[in-house]
Amino acid sequence: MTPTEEIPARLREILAQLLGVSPDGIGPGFSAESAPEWTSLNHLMLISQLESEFGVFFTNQEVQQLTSFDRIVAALVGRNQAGG
Amino acid sequence: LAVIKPVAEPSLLGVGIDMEECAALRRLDDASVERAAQRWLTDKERDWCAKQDPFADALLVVLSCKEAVFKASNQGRVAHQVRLAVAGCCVRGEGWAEQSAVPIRVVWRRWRNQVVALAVAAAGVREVCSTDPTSSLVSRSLEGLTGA
Repeated sequence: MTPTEEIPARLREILAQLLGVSPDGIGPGFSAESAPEWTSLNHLMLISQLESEFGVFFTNQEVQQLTSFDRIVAALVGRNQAGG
Repeated sequence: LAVIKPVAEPSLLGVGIDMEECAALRRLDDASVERAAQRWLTDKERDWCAKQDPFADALLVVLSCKEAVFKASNQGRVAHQVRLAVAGCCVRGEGWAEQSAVPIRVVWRRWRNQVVALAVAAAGVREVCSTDPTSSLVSRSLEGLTGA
């Protein structure tokens, strides 16, 4: 599995576990706006989990912006391609 | 705690409220909870959490208070940048925002399986402490909301 396949798959697992929702419903288009379980509290848990899991650090601006599956995938793939 | 030094009639600038399910963080493993505390809490906030039991509940209280203070401050900062001094336990307590341009008090209560945090930003109080007018206002408001 390539990083561009691996990252969305792992993100789906993390989001499902953290938000307590089925992974089947998580994919492109899934966001804090569409998912009531994606609260501000869960968002902080998500960011710290992602930083640990993928070995990255998000700025305050990124923390505010990474509120959808697509944005997070893009950010993580970008970091991966840039070498972390 | 600081001494009360009201310099004028407190002027209400903002109110923030946050509610979180008590069990919200209990489904996370210890490592995830600890990681979140390291990432989002100051040393002082973590020290307070370490004295509470369970730690996850204390983390929830602090994060809920930060959210309430953030809403009350109305300054465009992000919630996790709020720095708090807190006193009390996971069931009830109070705190205030540090390094804030305006004094902001926050109190919390556990109520019906929720943590309810209420913050009030008010000018006119140079120093704040547990018995200052702002704090009384916040406590009375929260008691009115929760009946606790």
